[in-house]
Amino acid sequence: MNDYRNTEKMIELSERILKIDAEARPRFRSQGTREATMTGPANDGKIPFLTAFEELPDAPYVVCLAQGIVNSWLMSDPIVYDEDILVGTQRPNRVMEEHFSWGIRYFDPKGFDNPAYKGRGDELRARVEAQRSRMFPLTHKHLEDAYDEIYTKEQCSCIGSLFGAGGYQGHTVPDYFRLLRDGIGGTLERVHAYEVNTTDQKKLDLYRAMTILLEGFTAFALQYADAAEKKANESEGEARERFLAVAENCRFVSTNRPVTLYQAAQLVWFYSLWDWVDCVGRFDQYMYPFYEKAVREGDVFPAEDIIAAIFLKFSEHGVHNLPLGGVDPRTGEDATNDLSFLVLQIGRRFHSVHPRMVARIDEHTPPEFMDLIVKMWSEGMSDPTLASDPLIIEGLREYGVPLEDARSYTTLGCQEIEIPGKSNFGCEDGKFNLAKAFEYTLNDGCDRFNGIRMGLPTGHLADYKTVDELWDAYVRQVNHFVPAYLHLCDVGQQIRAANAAKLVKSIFTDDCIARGLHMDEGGAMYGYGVIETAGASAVADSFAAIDKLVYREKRISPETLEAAIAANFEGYEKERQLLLKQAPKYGNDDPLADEYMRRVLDAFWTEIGKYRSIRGGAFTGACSLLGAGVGYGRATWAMPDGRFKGEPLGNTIGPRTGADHCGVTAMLSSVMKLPLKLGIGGTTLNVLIPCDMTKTAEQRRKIASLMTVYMMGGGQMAQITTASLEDMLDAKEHPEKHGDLIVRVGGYSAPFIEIGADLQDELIKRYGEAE
Amino acid sequence: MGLVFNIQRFSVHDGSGIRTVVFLKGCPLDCLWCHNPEGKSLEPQLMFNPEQCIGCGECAVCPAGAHTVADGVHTFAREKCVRCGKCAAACPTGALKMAGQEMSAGEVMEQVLRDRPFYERSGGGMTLSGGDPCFQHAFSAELLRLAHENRIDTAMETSGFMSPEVLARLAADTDTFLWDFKLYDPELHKKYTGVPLEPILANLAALNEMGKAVILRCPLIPGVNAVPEHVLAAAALSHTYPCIREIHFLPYHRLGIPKEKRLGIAGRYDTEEKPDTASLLALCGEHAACPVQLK
Repeated sequence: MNDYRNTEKMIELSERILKIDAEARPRFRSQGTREATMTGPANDGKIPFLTAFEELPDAPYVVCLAQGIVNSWLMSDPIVYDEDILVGTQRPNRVMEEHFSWGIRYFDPKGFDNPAYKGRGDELRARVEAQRSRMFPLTHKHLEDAYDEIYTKEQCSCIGSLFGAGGYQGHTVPDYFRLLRDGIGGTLERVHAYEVNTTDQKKLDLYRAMTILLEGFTAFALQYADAAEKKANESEGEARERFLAVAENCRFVSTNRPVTLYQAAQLVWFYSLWDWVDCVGRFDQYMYPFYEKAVREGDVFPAEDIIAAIFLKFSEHGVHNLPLGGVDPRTGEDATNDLSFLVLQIGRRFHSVHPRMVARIDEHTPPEFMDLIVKMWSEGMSDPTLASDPLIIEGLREYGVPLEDARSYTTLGCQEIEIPGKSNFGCEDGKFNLAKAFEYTLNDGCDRFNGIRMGLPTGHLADYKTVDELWDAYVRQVNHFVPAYLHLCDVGQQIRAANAAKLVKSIFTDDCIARGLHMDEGGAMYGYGVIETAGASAVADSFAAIDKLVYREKRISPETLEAAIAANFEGYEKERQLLLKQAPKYGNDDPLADEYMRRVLDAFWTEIGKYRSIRGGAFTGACSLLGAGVGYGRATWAMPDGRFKGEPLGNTIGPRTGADHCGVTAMLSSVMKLPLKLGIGGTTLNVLIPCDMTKTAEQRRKIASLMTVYMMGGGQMAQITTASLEDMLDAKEHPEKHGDLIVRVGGYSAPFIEIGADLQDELIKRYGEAE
Repeated sequence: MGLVFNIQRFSVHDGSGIRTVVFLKGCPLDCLWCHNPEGKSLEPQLMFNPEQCIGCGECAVCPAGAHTVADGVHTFAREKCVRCGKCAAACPTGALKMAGQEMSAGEVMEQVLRDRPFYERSGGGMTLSGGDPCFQHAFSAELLRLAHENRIDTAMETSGFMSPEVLARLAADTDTFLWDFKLYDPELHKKYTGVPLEPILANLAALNEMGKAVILRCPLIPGVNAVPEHVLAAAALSHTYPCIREIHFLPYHRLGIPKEKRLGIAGRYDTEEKPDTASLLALCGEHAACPVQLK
């Protein structure tokens, strides 16, 4: 029937899909950043949210918000492109829109000066002011006050180099299985069934909000049906037939549960737009029955075209995660299917950054699947990322998730992990820089940049008689900050919950409807917190260096090391070289350094795991942001691992850039010793594979074996970059020639030429060492 | 005990699967173009890389006074060096390094065994290289035996220049030989490598008798053997000895030159000439009885 499993063959796209692609491509903005791909068409000067609050002066917040979301969609003109078989585009990027999707921090009243508002800036600001207490129940001031209660003004000025609280939170995955099973109409019935059985006003308010949204969804789909019909009336022949099919499809899914693949695809796409979706869940699983039926019985369009068309929509709109493969939740058997292969082949053919494909790997993943994945890397893609089923499922189990739910996990955001349709994960409640805490430990609890006392007065290096005493002091220092820090993370989330309730997702997240609570009030079944962790490898390498050179071999005295650190190694190059070159580093399968890395993560993740987030779940660790290592590095002083003040800290869970020099197997062996089960928030390892190691089928089998060992042996997630050093160096000189050079940076696939000089140099260095 | 100058994990170019290559010191040949010059001598050698030197003067620990630092500039009098390694141990930057470390077979195996899961998934194992493993044959035989005891696949990269007795001993626990074929002409062979070709070919015949798997490895050196006669001779060997499963051509590279400088070996073979490897490869492929690859 098809040969999508054949790695040697590139998929052939139909004429229709090639036309859709040609039409859509100019609309893809820069393929680089999420912001560039996620913002809709230009501002149209409309004010949907403000209007909702003004027109419903007595309604509660959730109802106004729901009406605002509906207004936002219905005020946008439905666009049907000439070649599309699936329809729906982003809403315009309006001022208040940003407020509601990103949280209050991003609401800038000056935005109303945009010409689209035609000089009504002052008037609109006054109208927002009049609604302010209703629209913004909590403001950022709330978080600032919480900081002020704990820290002095002086401390507040530099605590940002230790941690950030209240980060973005909103990447959750709805229950697509339920969406497709019930349709919009069935879901509305479900809401009503609960509505008629309660008298609790707060619950009634939420059900009213959900009803507004679901009816709004129907109206939104019908707008597209009308627009397509209009197009049909203006066209003839094949185009007319096609627009009529589109119109009928939109009309059908506006309320009915989908029966065909074409209907299912349109519903999934409408929902993804409606909800501003980050991850489309286990697409190859919930779509498979429809796909299989379409292949067997036929559909309005060929099954391949429908899948390719929705893939192009995902690309155009910057969908972030598309998980494929992995085990079946009920049986635990590998569930990789023909659709998993087809989607990979389509992704391979388009060679685009979005959607970012993630391959779940289990013990019985078909070898052809791994083959195809490595082939894609060898062709210069950094997708798909690999995720380890055994480790992630076991990790979720340890946090109390039942087996079937654990097996349903997906990745999302910057490769965090969650249970689709049941979670309100923190995604990124906050970030914590462990290297900064270690800086305090060596400096009597003070920040080296300004001398401000931040932590406990634990003394200086010379005060510790053994490395164990130093370790204890470091742990005390970190743990000292944890309760206050996690409290601040919760305050940040309270603000977001109050100002940007995830109402659309709540409809498709268990058990919001049954409980009558939206996700941020405790409606979701799982509410884990996620703390991004930076600087761990710098702390581990510093401990290894001190352990060996100061305490064991006594080649550097504590006093000299103290002076060298204080001077940022100026005048201490000999000592710096010793620390850098003569001490073991994490990432080389060295027992001493690896053990410190294990202890650093274990200590922090176990400590935060003792606390519960306001959403009810424990705080878990994560390590997936490369940017965090660069940013926090700038604010972190010289370290005993030989790192100068301001240099980047290691990226994600991997070793410090360039510190691993014993080969990839040694590096992976180091990482496999870590307690990644506790880092269930998501710990991605960046693996750089020289592209000359993926040229032949035999070499690619070796790379497949390499990564399978990591996936089955204690690794969690891995993203691969294969590129040559020459490519990168040349791309720095001649960016115009290297638009296709895609690299993997902390959860993002990005064109190399767009990642900025800092990260470019970081990657070049990483690669130079690898070669 | 053996003298090891490198253990390289995740090697994917020297035998099947993912392998760990153990580089042993000492080589019977003296090839002009040697890319591992630190592997030739059967003694530890001091390598000095001035680019990494910061002139700190720690190397003054030298009992023979071989290192002097004046005004931050380091001068190394190699003729005084007694190869004790004290300076390398003291050097913070790694500018001074010893090529060659005494290790027991158990210590080497401890390193090799670390990648067992990778060997098992990929069909890889341990490769002995050098230098030439036949030079420390007792140690090599011990390593090969230990690997087999641990059910790990073995390969050996060798010049083939050894006595039949040594060959028999090493072959007992070697699954695959990566067998060098450097020059087709006996006289040129003697001239460029310092040893005769005949014993190497006799050993190859013996391997063929034993039924061992052999991969013929031919470095292509511009101006020396990157000529049709040589690749045709390699092709002919594959007909004579069916034990030859593949022929690999290795293009010349200049990585050995900086290492020679660090060892104090001056001005040996250096060329930027690029032979037409594609044609040579094709020519060999036409005539060989087995697959031919460029590595």
